[in-house]
Amino acid sequence: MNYPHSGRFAGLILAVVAALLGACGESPSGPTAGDDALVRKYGKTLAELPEVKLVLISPHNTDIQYEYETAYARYHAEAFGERVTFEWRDVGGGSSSILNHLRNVYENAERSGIDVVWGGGDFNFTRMAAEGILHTMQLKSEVRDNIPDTFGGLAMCDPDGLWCGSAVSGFGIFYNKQLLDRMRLPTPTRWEDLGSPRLFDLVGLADPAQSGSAAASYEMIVQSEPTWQAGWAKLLSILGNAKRFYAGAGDAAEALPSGEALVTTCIDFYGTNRMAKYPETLVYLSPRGQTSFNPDPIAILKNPVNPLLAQRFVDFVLSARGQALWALPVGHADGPSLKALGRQPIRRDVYEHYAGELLPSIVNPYEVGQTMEVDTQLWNDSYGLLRQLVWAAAVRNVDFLKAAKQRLIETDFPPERVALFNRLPDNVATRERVAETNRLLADRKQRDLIVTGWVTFFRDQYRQVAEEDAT
Amino acid sequence: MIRNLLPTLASGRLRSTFREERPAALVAAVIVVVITLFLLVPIMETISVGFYSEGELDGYWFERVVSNPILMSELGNTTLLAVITTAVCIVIALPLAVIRARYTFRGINVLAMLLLLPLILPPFVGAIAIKRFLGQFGVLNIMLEDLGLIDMAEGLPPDWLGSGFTGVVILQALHLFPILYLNLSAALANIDPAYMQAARNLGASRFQTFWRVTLPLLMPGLFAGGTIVFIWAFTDIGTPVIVGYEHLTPVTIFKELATSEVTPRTYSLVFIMLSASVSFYLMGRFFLGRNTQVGSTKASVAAETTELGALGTALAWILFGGVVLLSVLPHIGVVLLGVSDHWVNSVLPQEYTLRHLIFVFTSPESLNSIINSLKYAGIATVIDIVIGAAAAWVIIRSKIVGRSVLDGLCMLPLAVPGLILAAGYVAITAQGSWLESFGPTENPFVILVVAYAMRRIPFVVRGVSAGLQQVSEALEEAARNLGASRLGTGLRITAPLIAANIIAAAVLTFSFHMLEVSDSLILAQTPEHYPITKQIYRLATSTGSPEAVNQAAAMGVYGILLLGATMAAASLLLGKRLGMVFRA
Repeated sequence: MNYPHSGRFAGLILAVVAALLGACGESPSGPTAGDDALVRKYGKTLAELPEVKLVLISPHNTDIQYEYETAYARYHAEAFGERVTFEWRDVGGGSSSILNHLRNVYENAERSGIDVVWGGGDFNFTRMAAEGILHTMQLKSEVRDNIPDTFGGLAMCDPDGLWCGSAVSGFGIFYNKQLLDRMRLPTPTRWEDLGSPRLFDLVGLADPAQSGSAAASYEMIVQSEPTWQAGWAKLLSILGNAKRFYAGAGDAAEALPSGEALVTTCIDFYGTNRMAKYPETLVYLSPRGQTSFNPDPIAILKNPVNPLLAQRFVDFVLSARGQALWALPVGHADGPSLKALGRQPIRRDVYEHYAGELLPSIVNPYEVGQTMEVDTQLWNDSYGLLRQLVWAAAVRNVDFLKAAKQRLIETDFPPERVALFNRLPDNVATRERVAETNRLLADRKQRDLIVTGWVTFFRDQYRQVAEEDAT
Repeated sequence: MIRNLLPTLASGRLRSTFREERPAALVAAVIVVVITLFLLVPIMETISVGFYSEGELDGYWFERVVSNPILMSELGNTTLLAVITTAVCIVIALPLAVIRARYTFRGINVLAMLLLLPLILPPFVGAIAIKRFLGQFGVLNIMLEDLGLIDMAEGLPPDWLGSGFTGVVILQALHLFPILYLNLSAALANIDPAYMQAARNLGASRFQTFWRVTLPLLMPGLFAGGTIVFIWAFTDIGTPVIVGYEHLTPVTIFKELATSEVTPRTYSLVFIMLSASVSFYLMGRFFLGRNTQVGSTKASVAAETTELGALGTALAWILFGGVVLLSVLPHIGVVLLGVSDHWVNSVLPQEYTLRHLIFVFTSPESLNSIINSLKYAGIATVIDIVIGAAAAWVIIRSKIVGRSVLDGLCMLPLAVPGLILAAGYVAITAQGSWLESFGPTENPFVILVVAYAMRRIPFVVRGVSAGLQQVSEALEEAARNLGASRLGTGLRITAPLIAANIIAAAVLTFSFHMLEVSDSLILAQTPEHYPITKQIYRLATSTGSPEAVNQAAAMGVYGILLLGATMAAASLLLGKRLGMVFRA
């Protein structure tokens, strides 16, 4: 066979490869400016310093990993004369997978070979602390002075130093303004707006059983109402508008630029980082006074390989310099080297010290009026339970839920049918029952029975709402 | 002529059977041990969790699953999905394969090659691309609005992805039809045209000939390919998750495993699903694929092909082109994502960049993951070829007792979802076990390669078996009679005759290894060992950064280029014979 065009095609491929190789050559490499300081202090370049390895497990994205790795390696070389290499473990999945993985490991062994666990919501860290798989950290007084024990009702730092928040995350509404405008739909500003019949089938939501941050935002929504029942009704009105439930909070945020959904709830920096890229199209806003800020903790794992190095890394992340890395733009002397991270520092003093220099998307959570005061008791009683309840009521029953909500919209919300729609199973009908049931969920046989019961309960209920003749 | 000599040799052969079959028995024993250790043991590790309660053997969780009407109805749903997807694949693949076998027209070789592209769609980014196109506010609807066909101000645009069950069927069919197409092409090429000529000479119409002669001869091939498509659809997680249709057993298992509160119930469900897929496979094999031998009537002359006229060519182009266009949309989407700088609320990207394509080469982890994948896939392919060819040889050429058991054992991986095998490897290499140093956190090189290799053995066994069946044993016997050693015969007579089969099997196996997801995600936990699919996953889900998706797509672009080139080369080399691998 003869291929007259193959020569030309091969030429094209060669040209592309050459262009790419050329581009690679431009990337920075070789000794850096920092080497001079190292040679002066230790008589060695970075490459010649003795190597130490820090092993971390974290759901943080590659940008965060890169910036903290770069900044810390430079700091550590200058301060301690060692070259740190980082190993980021990834067990395939988000914070839930990490928790499962660590539990399995420590069930079978005394050590995990991992020094630091970083990121994923306070719920998982409270669990790990309770299960005894964290190592006590020594936090400096300047750190403790600038991080409140609790804020908005939520613990920011473990009193025994088993974990400490390294950043805070707010929750808000993220929407495609251009398309909402084009479709003459209202732009949401409050949680309740997401439950509006006009946004039916347009909201992309995440599965709280898999995403800790989605679970936290649903808890905020429940708590933005005075009672558990009213909070559930508000949450259910939003869940009923779901286009679908994504595995991760990030998938839900990505559903906007990809054109799958028009509105979603998400963690602040998922929204603000995308808004920075498409300022005319996408909007993130935090419903004022309807959300609190959650800590995003860091901790040292039980029997770390290198406890001293782990402690030093934690110190760096919680230092003013390490905190500023979250929020400064690229180009600032203390800022990130390649990409702005756009996250909220947890230390109060950072907002004052770097005032006017932080990224525009960074708000000071400690300013009055931003934050909702969380009912800590309800939070502790219901957070774990809510993940399972939403999973049973919405994620596992999404088609039935949508059919019921559609029927409510078509029949203009007759009160009896709305009451039926909002009815909760007996074992979670009141705050007291919620606390009781939440305790039962710790046993896996009980949990299986309870959650399976909820799935059937809601499925039957939605069928009734959808099928009954209008009265 | 040689055949006539056989009876005279028979008496001698009978005496030497035992001595003759010793090597075959030895090879078979080794293969059985390998499959037991690396496939059965890990699977047992996983599903046994579902049968323990408070540390004791117990059927509690199994009962909880069987008595749960929702879980049971999902199992029914999954079966229905697999049946319908398989049927749709047949509807798409059969006409394409028949036209390809009977006619030639300008461009058929290019179109036939493009038909294979669905097989090499990179994971995750392929899904993201599909959502971009079919999302309710995605490319298709924006295009329709630009054309004035819909008006978003007047009402919601249609939600193509939200079509549930139908959507899953369509996407699965567009992804899996090439398996049947390859299979049918191979089967058609093997039908002796003399049968059809005889039918026509006896007065049958073209349609009657097809219906009464060709189709029955195609049946074994159709059922064989159909079984693979069926099992694939039955265990598929990716497609239903893209569409958001989740009333399916594999999706439920996947989602339950991903939550922070996994109960043994999930593992009981795994056991039930595994039993179902193995039963379906066995049913397909014993009831439908029984007379496989009919299909391998070796053609004595090449089938004649008719050159299509202008109208025929145009129609063929519409048919082939339409299927190609639909099935390569995701690939186009991946490429666009890989080169887009700004792309929101518009049909095409608003700005383009080469930044992401360059990123792959400047990010050591990304580049390293490509190299890792080439290593893992390369070695796993070699293992597959060695084990698969040896197994095929025992199954086809030896007369040892229990070789059909060996055959079944080699086909078992088809029915095992990757997730389950991966979970098993995690369990046996857990911290504290003597295999710990091969575990995901230490150096998963070995378990990754072995897991990859185990899952694709069936394709090599099938591909090589098909070749051996078509090479007359008499040729090998002649060589032996002339004094050639067993090894010499294998290398100088058999190997060259089945080289095409081995190459076809190697290429497809290699491609599947490169695209493997479940084992890659779970078994590679440190960046230095990530294969390309895990790196794509990590970037695609690195959601804090809005550009990560584009970087993941750029990785996908290189994947498509690499595998596309491999596939194209194999397709040019082998033509219609590429399909022999997909015999169940």
